[in-house]
Amino acid sequence: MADYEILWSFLVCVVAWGIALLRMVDRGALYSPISKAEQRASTLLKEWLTREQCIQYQRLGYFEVAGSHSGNRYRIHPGRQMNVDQLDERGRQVETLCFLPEKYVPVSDVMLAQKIMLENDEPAALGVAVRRASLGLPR
Amino acid sequence: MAKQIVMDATGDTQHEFNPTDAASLKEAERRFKELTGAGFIAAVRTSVGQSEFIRNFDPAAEETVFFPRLKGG
Repeated sequence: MADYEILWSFLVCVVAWGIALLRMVDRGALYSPISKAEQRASTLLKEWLTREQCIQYQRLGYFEVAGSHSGNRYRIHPGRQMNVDQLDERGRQVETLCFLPEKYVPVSDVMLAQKIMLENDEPAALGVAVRRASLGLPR
Repeated sequence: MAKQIVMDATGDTQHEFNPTDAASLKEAERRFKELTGAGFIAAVRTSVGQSEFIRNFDPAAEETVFFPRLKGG
């Protein structure tokens, strides 16, 4: 194969990759799908929070819910595991709970599922949750 | 239009349906049964920030969210 043929093949290949890359940028396919999924989940979460929870989440980075049966307060932090604190009547951490959807969903979806579960069927949430005594350390 | 919101790896997938259209309603009911049969939990939004579990399809529900059943971490 002549040198110019190799060079020509190389150039064709570079141009083809360039076009493919531009098309991917145009489609948004090069942006992180996780980030887009999280943005979408975050929007959904905010739509399903009470006004108080929404303000608390924006100001403090977590929101609190009341358990459906006991009335106990739970603080839900952004996270997938060990992100739910059970609080005592003075707002101190008593236990840390870990429960999450069995299929992968973004973090904000995990938080929304935890909120809905605790507010509607607290015993079921506590029944599956892995519980650990809180050390009372700030997050 | 009413909405069914299914949590998934992309955040969620939303399905709109017209509660006054029989075919649309039938499709929404089929989706409800399929998802709950596959282990998804369904909750309807009753007011701002408030929700309620439903075990059967509610044609009057304006917004229903489905999330995978929960497990201990």
